[in-house]
Amino acid sequence: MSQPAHRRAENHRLDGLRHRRRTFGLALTIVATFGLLAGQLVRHGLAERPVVTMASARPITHGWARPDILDRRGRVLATDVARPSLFADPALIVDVDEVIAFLAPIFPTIEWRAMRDRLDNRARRFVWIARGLDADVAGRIAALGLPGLAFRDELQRRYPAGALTAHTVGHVDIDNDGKAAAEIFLQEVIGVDPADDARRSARPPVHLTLDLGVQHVVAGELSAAMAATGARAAAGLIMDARTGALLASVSLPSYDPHTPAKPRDASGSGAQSTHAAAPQAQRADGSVNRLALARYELGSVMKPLVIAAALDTGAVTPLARIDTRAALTRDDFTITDPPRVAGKLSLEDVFTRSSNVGAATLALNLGEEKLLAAFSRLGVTGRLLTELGRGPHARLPKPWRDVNTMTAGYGYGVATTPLQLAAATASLINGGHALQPHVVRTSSLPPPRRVLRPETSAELRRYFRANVARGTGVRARVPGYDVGGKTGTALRATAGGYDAERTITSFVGAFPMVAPRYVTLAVLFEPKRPLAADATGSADASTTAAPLTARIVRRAAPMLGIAPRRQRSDG
Amino acid sequence: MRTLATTVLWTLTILSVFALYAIKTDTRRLEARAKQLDRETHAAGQRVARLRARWGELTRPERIERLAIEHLGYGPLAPGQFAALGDLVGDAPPSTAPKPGARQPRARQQRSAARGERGDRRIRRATSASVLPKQTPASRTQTHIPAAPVSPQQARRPAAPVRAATATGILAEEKAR
Repeated sequence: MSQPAHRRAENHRLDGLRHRRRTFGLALTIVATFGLLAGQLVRHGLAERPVVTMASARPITHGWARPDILDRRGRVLATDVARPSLFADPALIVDVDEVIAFLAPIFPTIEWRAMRDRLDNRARRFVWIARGLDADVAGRIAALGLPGLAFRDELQRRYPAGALTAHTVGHVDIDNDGKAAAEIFLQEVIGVDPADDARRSARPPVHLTLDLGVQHVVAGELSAAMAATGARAAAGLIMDARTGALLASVSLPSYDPHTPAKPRDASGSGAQSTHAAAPQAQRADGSVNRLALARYELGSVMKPLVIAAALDTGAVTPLARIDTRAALTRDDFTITDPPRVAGKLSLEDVFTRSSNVGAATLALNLGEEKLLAAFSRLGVTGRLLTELGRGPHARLPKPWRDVNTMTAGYGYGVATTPLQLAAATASLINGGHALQPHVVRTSSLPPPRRVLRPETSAELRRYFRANVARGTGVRARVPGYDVGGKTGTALRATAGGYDAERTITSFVGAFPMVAPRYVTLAVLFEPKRPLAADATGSADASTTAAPLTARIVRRAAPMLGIAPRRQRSDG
Repeated sequence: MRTLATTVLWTLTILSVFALYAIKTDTRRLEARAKQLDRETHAAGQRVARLRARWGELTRPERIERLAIEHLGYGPLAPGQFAALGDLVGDAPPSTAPKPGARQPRARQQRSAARGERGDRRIRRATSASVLPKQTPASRTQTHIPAAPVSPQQARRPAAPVRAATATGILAEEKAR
């Protein structure tokens, strides 16, 4: 047992050494652990907070947060506001009868029998009762203190201008999903954000080219003209003749975008267009955008297109004279001009007297191929896609015969949208540039594409001007504003023919004609009486749409910043 | 020497624990504040959106037009209400002109309107002459004059401007409709 002294001393030294090593190891471990913890703390402190996505077994409906829509001067046309929506958790409801007894007087429109079945099913944990409530209604329900009822804020789209801009701005469904016009464009092109709560979109607002004041003037005058003439519907626009930007785009009757199912104005109810092939146009009356989404045979307002095509291709010269005294017959169909129109007419006379035989002769001179090529270049036979929606394909007669070339000369047989006609007319007067009509302000317009020679356009401007000075469009004259334009009175096509009792009267014009800045279009559907006070007898375009255009220009031009040219003779 | 180092290290450790604790509570407080501010911003944003929508509804052109006609006797701007600057100078009233910038009394516009003068005469009279330089050459520049009363009948109506003075009155009236 006895060890040598030096051995014992040696053991003692080794023990001390081991002990110190253990202590050192322990200290190192502790330091490393704390260091690690500190490092983690720093990392968490500095790191970006990860986005927490919530997974929930509850069936939450997904809405959309949409950017605001403003007019060209920044006035709000559509915005999202948060509104409380009421839902129930059937598992927490104590007495379904009590809940229904309290809620039924507040929501008389809810089908409570079906609702009771849903509320009785305790396996369901989420049942919508009413969405988009007013704050005071929500407060009243909250005050009832019924267990199992709760609120969730949801975004709801509001349209301050209401029916005034409905056909242009469009509307959304209960989940804020775009369902018409610019709202669809927002959904599909500009982009919206999915929203689980009532957080508004952070996207910049979308500016339209529309001017709310001008829109109001056009809508107001169209509506007044509808009442005065007994027309069933109306459409109108003011478009920038150089860019195609729409400052006003109106189709009446309109609808309340907050309750899109109900037509707002019943004055034209039931007027289902036989021409309207677009699916949108087949629905209830107030929901039809007659300006951009329905096609019509518009009549004489197409004549300028034919005259321009004939001039531009060199089929006639500006000095040509056309004899319209004889009847014109093709495929057993004969047309004649009334005696006050017929004669050896210059192109200007064909325009200002609106001679059917003259325009038909020009069309026949051109021939089917060149006529259709010109129509296609001017965009009236294609399909126009704008932010207002996908326009219908223009309708052409099939098969195309000689008689169709003849009637197309004065605007029958070819059905197109009024918006396409306005865009084509803009090309006639703006120096011959094709343009893309649009309502959403954009910085990337396609480069101007020339479709007519500038000389043709200058000649046409002269005709448009002469027509208001002394032709069929005299009632569109506005002192100081130098308006030009063309009238068109078309019989409405019915199954197997035309109805002489039902007409579409239109006036496509521009001002100031020296250097046209704005194109106007006014269309009245089935007017019964003239609008002009001095006119008696039939309600054709010269007594309805022409004076209507004068009223629109008189009020809208000052708002568009165009001061009248001073005329000593003006009253 | 070693004792000193140990003491210093321990002190630093204790200090860092306190510092860490302080930073942590501070962070919590700031996070709560940030959350609250976020909530407030959100609520304010919602309120602004609601107010903007309401403002849009209240400034609908058809409503403003109706109120302007009913309470102020205004009408749509007519082409005759534009005049050239040169004309205004030529037609300046001599000495009774008000001070620069002073507004023409309403009654005067109404009187001239009631006399049934031509639109351009009315504008010339309603414009203060002294605000224009006397020697301005007859300029073709177009100038824009505020809308004059629609008709003598409307202009003479005495009660209208008084009612128009109270915005709340208009709102109340709107509500009652």
